[in-house]
Amino acid sequence: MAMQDTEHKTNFDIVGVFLGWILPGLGHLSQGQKRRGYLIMFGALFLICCGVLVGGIDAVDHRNDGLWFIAQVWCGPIVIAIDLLNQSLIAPLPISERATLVGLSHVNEIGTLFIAMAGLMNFVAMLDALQSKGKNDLERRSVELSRGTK
Amino acid sequence: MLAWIPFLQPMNALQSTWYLLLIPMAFGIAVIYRALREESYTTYWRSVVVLSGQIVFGIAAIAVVLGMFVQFAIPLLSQP
Repeated sequence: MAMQDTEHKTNFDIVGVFLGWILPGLGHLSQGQKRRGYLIMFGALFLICCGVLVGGIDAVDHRNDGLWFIAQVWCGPIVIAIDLLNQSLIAPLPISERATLVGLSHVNEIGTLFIAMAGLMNFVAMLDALQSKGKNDLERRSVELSRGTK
Repeated sequence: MLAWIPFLQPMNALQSTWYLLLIPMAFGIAVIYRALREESYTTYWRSVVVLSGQIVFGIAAIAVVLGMFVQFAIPLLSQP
């Protein structure tokens, strides 16, 4: 009975959440869920790369798109680095030179949205990492299912 | 000098076909969501494709409904 009670206790893995913010998927990797972690990392980096490719580095801009930045920053230092690049490379330029580097209309919106989606999905992954210390990885589950243990 | 520098300059060539970018966005969201929810890796990529399709068709359906509302319903409602 006492063992069952301890099994039902929720262990909050704060370190996993922090690692998940440092690099998407790293929280799950630190918990031994390698395949799940690599898939989260692939998905988040795919969205970030697509966002920057479509919208340029101007897709992350904490000064002009502050509310979007709140969603984007859940991707961690990658997004902060992109914002720093934007603020140091593009923002100080005169308007005539900035024109070719700043995304306009749909391209800017979609680029910003891609990275915001990556941030929000990584927030969900971080919440999952908070409580999934004892959870099985994808590969283990598939092995168990094929053996008929579950 | 390059006409377009990837990852630095925006991809302005996609201005007219921006809505097609919904497909890779849905794929990226589905990859992360199914990684968290799927129980077996054997069905993982199939679930990703299904969820991507559901997101794309769901948003397209909302766009059609809103478009019909703006094009037909609002003019009818605004008639004296």
